Amino acid sequence: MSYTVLAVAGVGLAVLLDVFLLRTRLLARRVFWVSYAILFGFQVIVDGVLTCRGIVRYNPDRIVGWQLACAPLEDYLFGFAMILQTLAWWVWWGRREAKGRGRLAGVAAGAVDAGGDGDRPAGAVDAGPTSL
Amino acid sequence: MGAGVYLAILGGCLIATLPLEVALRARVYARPRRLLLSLAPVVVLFMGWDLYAIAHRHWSYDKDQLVGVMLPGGVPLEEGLFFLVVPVCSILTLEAVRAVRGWRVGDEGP
Repeated sequence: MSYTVLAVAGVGLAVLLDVFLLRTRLLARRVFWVSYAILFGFQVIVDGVLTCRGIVRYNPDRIVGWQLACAPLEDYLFGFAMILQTLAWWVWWGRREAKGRGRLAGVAAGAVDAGGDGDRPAGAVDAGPTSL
Repeated sequence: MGAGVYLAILGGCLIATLPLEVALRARVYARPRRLLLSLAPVVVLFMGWDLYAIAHRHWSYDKDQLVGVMLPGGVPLEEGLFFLVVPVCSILTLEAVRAVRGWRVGDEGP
């Protein structure tokens, strides 16, 4: 497989993760696109140094040949895939932690409630956090 | 700096983004468990990609501009660190943008 095919597949996998598997939906958020725009600017500089100086060299038979600041188009797809996937995992783990905290808070609230008039159904403890 | 160029670039990325953690309270390094869990699948997948690409000659490295430490599979040390540094800088950027603009990221609690 060429770098081009893998780069497109890498972007596809990252999008799949964000939209369907982790459901983080970063692609629909302004915070992601502004962050990506900043990171893209730095990627052009860093990738530019790495490729213009020849620290990393690409096999011309494995890329389509379009370049920006010496770096092949595929590098920017690679970067996009890595950034989107990293941020999707970060948000996903953060969401789990937030749910965990919510559940703990729910349990604490349930304990307080049990000490009161006790009219709250047992299932109510989980209802809050899972209704996110 | 010859042999240390790639390593210096990575160090520069970490130094340049450090103020985001301190001044903007991005709290990325402050949440090491979440950070490691987020990095793990990315490092595995992209290191695998790198191993494949090196083995199939998609790209190669100029050994004169590397410190010369090689990881298994012919991956230069710098390239291994790249898969840690870039994700960390990416998360710091996201958290910094959130801190400054107050936009929702999707992990907000109930």
